[in-house]
Amino acid sequence: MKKEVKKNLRYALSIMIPIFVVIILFIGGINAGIITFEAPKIEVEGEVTATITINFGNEKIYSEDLTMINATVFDFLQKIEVIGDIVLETTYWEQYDSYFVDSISYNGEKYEADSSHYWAYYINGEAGMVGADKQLVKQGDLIEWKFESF
Amino acid sequence: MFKNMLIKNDSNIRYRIIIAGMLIAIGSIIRILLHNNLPGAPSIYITLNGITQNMFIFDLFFVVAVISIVSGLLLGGYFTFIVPISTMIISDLFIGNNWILLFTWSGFVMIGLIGYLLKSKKCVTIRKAPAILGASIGGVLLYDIWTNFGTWLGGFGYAYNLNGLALCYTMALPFMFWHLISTTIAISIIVLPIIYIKEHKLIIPDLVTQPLERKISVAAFAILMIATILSIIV
Repeated sequence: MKKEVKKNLRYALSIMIPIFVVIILFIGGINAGIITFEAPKIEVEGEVTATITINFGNEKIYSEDLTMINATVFDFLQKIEVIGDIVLETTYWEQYDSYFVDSISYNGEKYEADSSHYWAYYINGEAGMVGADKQLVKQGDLIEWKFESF
Repeated sequence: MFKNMLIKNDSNIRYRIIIAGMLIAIGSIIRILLHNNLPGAPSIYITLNGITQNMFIFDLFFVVAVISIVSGLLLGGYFTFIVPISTMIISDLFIGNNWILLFTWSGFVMIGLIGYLLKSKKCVTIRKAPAILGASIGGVLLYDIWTNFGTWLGGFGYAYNLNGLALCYTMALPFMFWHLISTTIAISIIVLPIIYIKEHKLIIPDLVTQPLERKISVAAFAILMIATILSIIV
């Protein structure tokens, strides 16, 4: 009987202990400030001038210096569409809470993301780590949009 | 006696094919119907390695993971390989995929093989629920380590050094946390009851695999992993 009780206790503990560990880690993370329930505050940059280039992958490169107020990488790209130099198609993915560029049309040619190509942005030579609509642009930044192959 | 063996073998294969077909159908349909209907990330944020991001990003990994585990636990043998790959092929025909597919497909086969390993160690009982959950969590971690290694290797803008690798894994954390929690819950509410039903022989019979099947399944998986790495290098 005692052996059976020990066996059942070990079984229950082997399930409960990992659950407790996860809960404790989660609470610990909240106390340490690693886990929060507020969206990160977006810094305000004011008026900035940055260079935006679009590399279509076939030695066609578009480049423009733009000045905008409190703008993201995505805002800069949309500004070029407003100017009339490109036509942009994008999709908002609720899952990622972000916009993805589906295609950019330039000089009558459409560069569309598909199973072997995608649009990626770089800021000052480094790949963007957040959605383009979340990346704030600072004074003097170099924004590069590249049509890349997998 | 020989005739009885043949009849038993025949019905064994028939049951396995039926169950495999059901698993593939369920996995494919759920993936196709829900892939564009996922909710936005919840307002829980985590800061690690200087990067603040959502703690969970939803995807349908747990659907194929559970299908893979069940195919390993119940069916074993060739189906450990066939079921996850078929589910992904059919649903990817509708959803689409890219070069990372070799990593994701081999990752799901890895999870299926973990289920098969549990079956071969006679762990398909409710008493072994902690082992099943532990092995499944291990499988999820291995999947994420493998597929994100592929993302880094494939050149998604991450630098080819340790910092780039660390950054790649940091950016993958929202997916990993979701994979762990969703798969654990899905296994608890789906797989464990199936094991209970099987243990009591209520609907699911004991399905036997041939010794050769194990060797072929492991060999097929090894070839897939090698092909995956070669696809990046070459």
